[in-house]
Amino acid sequence: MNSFAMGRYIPYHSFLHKMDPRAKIFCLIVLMVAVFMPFVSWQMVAVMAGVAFLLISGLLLASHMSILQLLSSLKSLWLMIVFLLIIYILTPRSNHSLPVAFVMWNYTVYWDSFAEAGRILIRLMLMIELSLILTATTKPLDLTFALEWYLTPLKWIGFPSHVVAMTITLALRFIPTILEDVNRIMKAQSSRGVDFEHGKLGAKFRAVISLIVPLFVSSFIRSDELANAMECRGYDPKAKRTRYRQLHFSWLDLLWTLLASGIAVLFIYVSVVHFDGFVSWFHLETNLV
Amino acid sequence: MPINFSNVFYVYNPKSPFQYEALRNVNLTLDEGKFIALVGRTGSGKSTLISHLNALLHPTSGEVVIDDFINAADKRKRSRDVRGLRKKVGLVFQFPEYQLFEETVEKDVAFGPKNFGLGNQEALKQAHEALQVVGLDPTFYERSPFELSGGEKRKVAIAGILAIRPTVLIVDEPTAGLDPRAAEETMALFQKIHSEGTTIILVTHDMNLVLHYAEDVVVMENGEIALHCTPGELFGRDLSPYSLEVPDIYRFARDLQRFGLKIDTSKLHGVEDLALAIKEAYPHE
Repeated sequence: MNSFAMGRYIPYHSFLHKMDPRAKIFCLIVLMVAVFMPFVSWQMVAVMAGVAFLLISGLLLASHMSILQLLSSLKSLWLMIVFLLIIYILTPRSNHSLPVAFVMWNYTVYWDSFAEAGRILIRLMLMIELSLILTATTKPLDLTFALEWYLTPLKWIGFPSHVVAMTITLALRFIPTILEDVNRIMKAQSSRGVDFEHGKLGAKFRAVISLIVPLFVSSFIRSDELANAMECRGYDPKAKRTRYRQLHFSWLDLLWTLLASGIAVLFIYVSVVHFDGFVSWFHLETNLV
Repeated sequence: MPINFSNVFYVYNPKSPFQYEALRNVNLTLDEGKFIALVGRTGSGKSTLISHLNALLHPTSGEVVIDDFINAADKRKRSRDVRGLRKKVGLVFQFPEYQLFEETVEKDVAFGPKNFGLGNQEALKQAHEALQVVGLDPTFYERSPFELSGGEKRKVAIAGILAIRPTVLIVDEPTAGLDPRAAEETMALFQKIHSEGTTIILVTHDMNLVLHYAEDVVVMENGEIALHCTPGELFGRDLSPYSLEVPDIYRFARDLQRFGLKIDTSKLHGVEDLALAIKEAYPHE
């Protein structure tokens, strides 16, 4: 069974692992904004996507994630790609900047449709990579601490941010445990002749039922036991809590935060100022010189 | 149905920080029709080993031959008929009660036979027979497995495997979490199945069970086979390197030996044997 699931924390010692999770979440959001900035001309889109791609690939390398594994994650995106292409091809466009791709029953399809689908795809890919970097380099617990920290302002208006954070922590904590359960039950049912991979639709349905029912039962038992164990140790959601592991925001974190913000600002600037493709960009450079 | 492991290695999560070598160069032959105990400390590779017998895991290198089924690292050499293998080798996992899912006991027990191609009637017939073997009477047939007690659930789950009628039965810690009486009943059940010709492989931490029931014992240590001998030979040795406990009867017999009673420990299997040995050894007036 593949227990090396996507989005799992992988322990290494890169600078990304050492970064403060709050800074990391901030950088992630800011870089996502950058990736999602619209640009007017296709050339500019290509250039900026290239820049973002290089940047994120660098981060991937730094966090010891294998590019191959990421590419395999794209496999699950192919349905999306097909869907996007169909949508964009079927959407009639009045203003097109690229030549005609083909004509189908009096319906003209421009290369714009493909470029648009490609752009969305690249954005999605970059976004997935960014979030994978976050989850692969941050321990789930640190992640929830950071989330709780971001929810602090809501605490002032009576939002139970600690309870929410605790729920998220527990949910994250039990993902591997439940995956283990899945694994164990699948093995047990396979021994009873269930085929999870092949078989007709009806057989597959029964196979899934034979997995889901025991999984629910054991999850309910587990949550019941967990609740009892927490209560036995005097857990009170309203109590003021201290933390064993403190988060430290160092000057390096500040530096990365500023750097990421800088990159985002650059992207936003390029997007807002509407450079008109390569020509004007070079033009600008010559002007500057 | 002979079982043979040759040079079997198994690595979990290869080429990642979670890499873990669970089996290291395992060479093992298990004879047909025997009652074999598989012992070793937690994490020594027992569960990984038995998973190979049901083709739930494939070796990273080496091969396992179960009768005519080949479970090899090389995909081309591997046999295709996994279903046939699983019909012959029944595997009862630890805490098997967690695999119950049907609305009624008889349906759950009949689930296995049905998967192996039996019709509804026939599957139910085999289910009823298996339930009778584990000692659950017809009043249980229509009940929901989720409303039974822990021991009864365990029996239903074991019946679910027995209904498939395997020729090799592997049980992983069948007595864990059962009260002493239920544990004894469960073991007596396996003894009975064994006497009818089924090979039994029992994974356990309880050396009393090993001494009482097993004909052969395999000791695992760090993914390797440390010993393969009879329980008598095993308990005659120093057990400290394997972190195994000495069975109660042996401990008692050794205490008696220290007080000068001549007892041959190699023939002890149960309390009766010990009583007999004491009677013989006791100096007659």
